[in-house]
Amino acid sequence: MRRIFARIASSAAALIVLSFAVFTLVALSPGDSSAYILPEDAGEEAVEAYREAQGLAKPFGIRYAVFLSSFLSGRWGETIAGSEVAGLIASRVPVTLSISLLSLVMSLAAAIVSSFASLERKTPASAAVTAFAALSASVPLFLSSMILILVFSVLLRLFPVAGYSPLSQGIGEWLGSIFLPSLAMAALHSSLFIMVFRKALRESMGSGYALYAASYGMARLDTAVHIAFRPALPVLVSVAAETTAAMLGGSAAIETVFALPGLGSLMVDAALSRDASLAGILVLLAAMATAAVSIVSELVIFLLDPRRTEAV
Amino acid sequence: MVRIFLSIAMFILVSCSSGHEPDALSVAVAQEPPSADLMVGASVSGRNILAGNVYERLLAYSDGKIVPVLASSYTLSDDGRDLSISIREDVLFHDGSRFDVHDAVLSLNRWMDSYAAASRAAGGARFAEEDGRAVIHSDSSLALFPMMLSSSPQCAVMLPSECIEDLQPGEIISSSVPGTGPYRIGRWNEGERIRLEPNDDYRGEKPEIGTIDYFFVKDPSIRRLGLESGQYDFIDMVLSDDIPGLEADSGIRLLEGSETGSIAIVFNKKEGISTDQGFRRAVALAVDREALMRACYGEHGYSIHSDYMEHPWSVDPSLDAYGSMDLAESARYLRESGYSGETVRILVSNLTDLDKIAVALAQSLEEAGIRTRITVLDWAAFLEKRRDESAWDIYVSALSRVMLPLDKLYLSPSSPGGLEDSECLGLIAAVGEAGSMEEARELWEKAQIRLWEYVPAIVPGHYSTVYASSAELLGVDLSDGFHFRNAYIGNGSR
Repeated sequence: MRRIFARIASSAAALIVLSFAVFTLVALSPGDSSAYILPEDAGEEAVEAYREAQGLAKPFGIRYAVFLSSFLSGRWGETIAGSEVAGLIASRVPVTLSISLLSLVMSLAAAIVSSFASLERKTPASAAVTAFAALSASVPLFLSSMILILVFSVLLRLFPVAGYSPLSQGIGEWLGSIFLPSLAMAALHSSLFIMVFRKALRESMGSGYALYAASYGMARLDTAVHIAFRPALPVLVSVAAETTAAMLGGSAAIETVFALPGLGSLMVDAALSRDASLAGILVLLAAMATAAVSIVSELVIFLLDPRRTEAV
Repeated sequence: MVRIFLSIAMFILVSCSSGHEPDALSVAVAQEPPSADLMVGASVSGRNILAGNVYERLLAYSDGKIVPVLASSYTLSDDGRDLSISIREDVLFHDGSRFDVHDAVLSLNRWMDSYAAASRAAGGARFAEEDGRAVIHSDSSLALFPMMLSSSPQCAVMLPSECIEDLQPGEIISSSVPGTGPYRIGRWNEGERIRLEPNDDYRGEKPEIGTIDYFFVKDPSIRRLGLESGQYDFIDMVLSDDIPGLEADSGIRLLEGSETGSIAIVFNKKEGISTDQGFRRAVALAVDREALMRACYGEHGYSIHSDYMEHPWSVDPSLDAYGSMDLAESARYLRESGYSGETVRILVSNLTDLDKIAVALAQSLEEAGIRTRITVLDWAAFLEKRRDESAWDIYVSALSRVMLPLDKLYLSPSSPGGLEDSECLGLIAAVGEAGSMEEARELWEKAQIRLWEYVPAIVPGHYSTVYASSAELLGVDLSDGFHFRNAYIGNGSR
């Protein structure tokens, strides 16, 4: 427990450093949001009036202090286009969370099923799974997305090409809108899941307790499911945690391809429009989510294998 | 397990195959308006989506004529220095409040505060209420003012006076501010879509199309695939490479808008080698205009001519002595200029593939013996860098169509790399002072010919956006962007 508190404290310090770095990078990049709001030929007077109204004319240190205090107080203000930041982020979280979680479930399912199906080395099944993992890891996300859209949306007309339907419009529409992006993300990430989990499962199958079970006549698949599975799980949880954090923080590419209004595309837009406050808030939230996922995963690993105290 | 999975899959497939309402339209656009403030911003996306639909002007430019919208009439005095506008009395804002002359005067004055060309044209004068009309008296000619009111890129839209009075200096209008148009903003999900819903209290003929969803889809391939799959009814900014494929699809109609802007290669006339007129002429004669436009647009969606303005200001481009490639003449001008092998710095943003034009330009110049270096930045950084006139010699930009020469950015002395030739400036100022449109056009022809001689900028060509729609969508107005006011879903007969 002490270690968890220490972890939280170190994460908080890291968050402040990170927020400062991102705010600095965006705020001190050449140009500001007036480039997006005002016309190209706006005079210096109009630009200065805009900067004054948006607080961009204040010294950098004050701007950062205002940003940090408003973040901590929960009063996140407005975007450069005038939308309320808290409401905007709240509307984006379900999108990124939906595709991240569904692709995680898909990746886990692919890893577990294919690992059990290819337990034996040098078999056609093993070769096929290895080939699938290599292929899915090497196809760029953009290309796999395009192939999925062409097949499932244009030819078969089963899923929408792009866009997001919230859960309030019905579970079917919601699932339909996140299915292809999640599948494309899962295809990319599942190779790591498969290779790591299959290796762990095979090692577990070679351990003394699994051999002992086999020597009593237990079938190989039964041994894998009932004996070797749980000891192999911590490594899968660890990979899942890392991948989830990566998905939450780096979903911009998939959101851009599928025109999904998620946190990743919002981060890109914030950086391009020089909305330093919004960019800083998003990075802080992403880092907090990453830290939370990491801590939860270590707790789960500890629950799965209490001997692993060093992990927590 | 397999059964459960298949059941879930079938449920998803059945659920997401539902279509949209028959009178609703689903549109995929490349860009989201940066804000709802059409007076302050000049974005094409804002005009396409909000202008005319949600927010309306007093006057509009239609079929070459200025027609009243929220005005009932307007009169210009014989000397062109007094403009008086009468306001319609049957107009309601979306919140039910009545539009009156006070709203009009405050809106017009805020527009003039934001729009430098209008402020200049009026010589500092502002609108006031007189006998229930919006009136402006100026010491300079206001002959072009109705044109500005009807078609300026920063729109003179009408807003409720209380919304304008509540604004702090520099503050922009939010999307919650009501307009008077046939649609109201149903919702604006930043980064996803704008939904326009019918304004049931609209005074005039209501559009046939009910709800319009404008989805922001940056990737052109996804816009195309969305149209082909039936998810979208209309898409903008079709890629040249996609045109042959879409042409072959009988369920899709390709639409080419009128010229919507021009590419401009603007010289720095204040510092560096580009201050030399001979050097500028050498560059103008070295440029392969076709290669430049093709680099950005491919085979479709542009025309090659060196006019600075689009219709109705066109001037015979054959009068441009430096308007086509002539490497021998270019070499002669280069020798006579002060060019001594220094690197010419080309500044460009990565917006809408403009960097490809910069690469083609650099290639043309290198072949003519001019050394080049290209700096590609994002839009905000580009604008910031361009302000520093010691940092560049040439910048490449795209300028959307403007209705008056005064609105052309690079024809202003205060613009980056500013125009400082007194003859050019005098002629351009005279256009603004003209007593009528005909006189203004004649003066502009003289100004254009002088500008071709002086070469403050090169216009290699003009672009026209290509759109695509489902074959059933008819009546889309493409005269200035795209508008669905008269659009309907049908089979060709109405």
